Amino acid sequence: MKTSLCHNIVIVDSKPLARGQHFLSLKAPELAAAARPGQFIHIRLPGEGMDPFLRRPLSIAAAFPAQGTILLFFRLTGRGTAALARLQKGQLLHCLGPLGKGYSWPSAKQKPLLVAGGIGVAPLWFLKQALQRKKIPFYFFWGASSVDHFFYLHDFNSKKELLVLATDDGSVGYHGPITKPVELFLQNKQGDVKIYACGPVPMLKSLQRIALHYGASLEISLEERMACGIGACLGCAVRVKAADDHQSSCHYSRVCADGPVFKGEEVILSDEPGS
Amino acid sequence: MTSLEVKLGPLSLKNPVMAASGTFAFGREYSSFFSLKLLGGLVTKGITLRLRPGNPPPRIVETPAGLLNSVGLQNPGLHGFLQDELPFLQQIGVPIIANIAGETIEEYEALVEGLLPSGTLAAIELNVSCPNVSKGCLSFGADPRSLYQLVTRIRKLCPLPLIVKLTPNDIDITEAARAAEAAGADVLSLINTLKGMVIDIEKKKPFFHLKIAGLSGPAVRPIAVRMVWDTFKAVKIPLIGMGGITNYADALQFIMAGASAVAVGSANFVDPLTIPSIVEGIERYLKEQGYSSPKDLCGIAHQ
Repeated sequence: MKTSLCHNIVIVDSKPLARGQHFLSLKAPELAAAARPGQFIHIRLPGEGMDPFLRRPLSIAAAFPAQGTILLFFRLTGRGTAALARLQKGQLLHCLGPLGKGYSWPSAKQKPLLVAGGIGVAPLWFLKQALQRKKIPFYFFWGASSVDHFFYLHDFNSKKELLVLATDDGSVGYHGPITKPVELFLQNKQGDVKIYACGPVPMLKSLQRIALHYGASLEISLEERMACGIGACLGCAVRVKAADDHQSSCHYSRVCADGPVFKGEEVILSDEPGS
Repeated sequence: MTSLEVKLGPLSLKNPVMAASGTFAFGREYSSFFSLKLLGGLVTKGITLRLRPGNPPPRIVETPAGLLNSVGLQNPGLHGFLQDELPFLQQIGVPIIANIAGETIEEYEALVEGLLPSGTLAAIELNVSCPNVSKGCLSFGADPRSLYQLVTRIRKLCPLPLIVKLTPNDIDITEAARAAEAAGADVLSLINTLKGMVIDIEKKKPFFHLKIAGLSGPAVRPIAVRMVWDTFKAVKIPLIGMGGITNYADALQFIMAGASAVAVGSANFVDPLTIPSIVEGIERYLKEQGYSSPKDLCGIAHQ
């Protein structure tokens, strides 16, 4: 029986991150070895009952193959995430993973530019870790509503890595959306840039426009409600452009299996999903 | 000697646990988790004559002990199914049941005619119960006369075992069951999802674009068991029971209420290995209780 996507994992550390956000470190040697930035795991909440019924998909925020651990950063958004945050060290969890298609590696000529909106930082944190290991320099743009939403800012090498922050309330960094400093940066930048992004839909839509305008390549990681997480239920749909470029015809891809990372130009994002 | 084999009229299954339509796609995704040979049968995602993109998101929301879906029969259409999905399904080596959905009787007929030449399907399941499309489908299932007409027409041209999947919505399910039986159905499967709804209190609007969606999962199980119980008394043809089955004990409830076989749907989303574990559990139960076949338990709760 093939069960390589099924894992029993153990919580080794659990703590609040910044405001409304949580950190879990999990003992998961096979996942730590196999996971790629942009991929996610699908966690079953422990307990005997059937409620909550579905698993919870969470981006992998870092992997340490030598220690056999992975990290998760997530925002407390509802019952499932609240229940996860309450679990104690030593708790055993069942998860599926690593699932989905991750970010593709930049070409030798491309300089990676990572753009995170809020807790959308999680998959990009994993990409950052991978780039740092390969000693590839990058730019990191991170927007949030306020200064108290950021964490681990010391985890950047200020000599090699450019970190730009933005907040909605101006409490730190640029006062306004993070896409504005991204755009200003690209205006003055020579050479190929590959943008990697995860965050709220309005941010991703701005980046689609910006990438097109400045000729940058763009990969975005999407979030959607999921049931199976493996591509069977068709519950997590995102509208994509048809291969024949027919604007009138409508096609959906599966966020879990065809994504969660998509090329910026292939998805049709809508603030009001589906409208 | 315990054998898990069951016969549903003309259809034979080597065990009574099937994958339910719409929860298992066309099998490929689950083949990374277990050998699909362990399935009693595989009922495909609903197939329509032409490709259907499905409904705009959001398509699912979790509810107490279950979920609502509004997928809207996204599927590659008859041609896409034959070309891209059937070859994979054929090599599994278990009965493949094509679930078909149409807006008109003619569409159902065209689907059957298009599927027959492949020669490898074990049965056809008429989907007359999807609550998530605006035309056809449920309008047949919720009206005994329309259902009788549809099943009669399909029966004429379909030499394969014919399963009719009944809806729990908008009709006394035993009436629909009698109509389908009278029109020549070989087997009935029940239940499809129950119509349900969630309101988004931030937006002060229904959560789904189509407002109403289909409820499944353990939340519906007692209703489904009761419907199998009632339908067992109403008709003579065999039943496939489903609705919130998550383990072998749930499956046995359906069998004891009168189902000859069961199908597992939403539970596959939570644990991809649900079906093989139910097959094992039923076999263990039969041995422990000294039964030689699941059919010895079929409807036993009525005695």
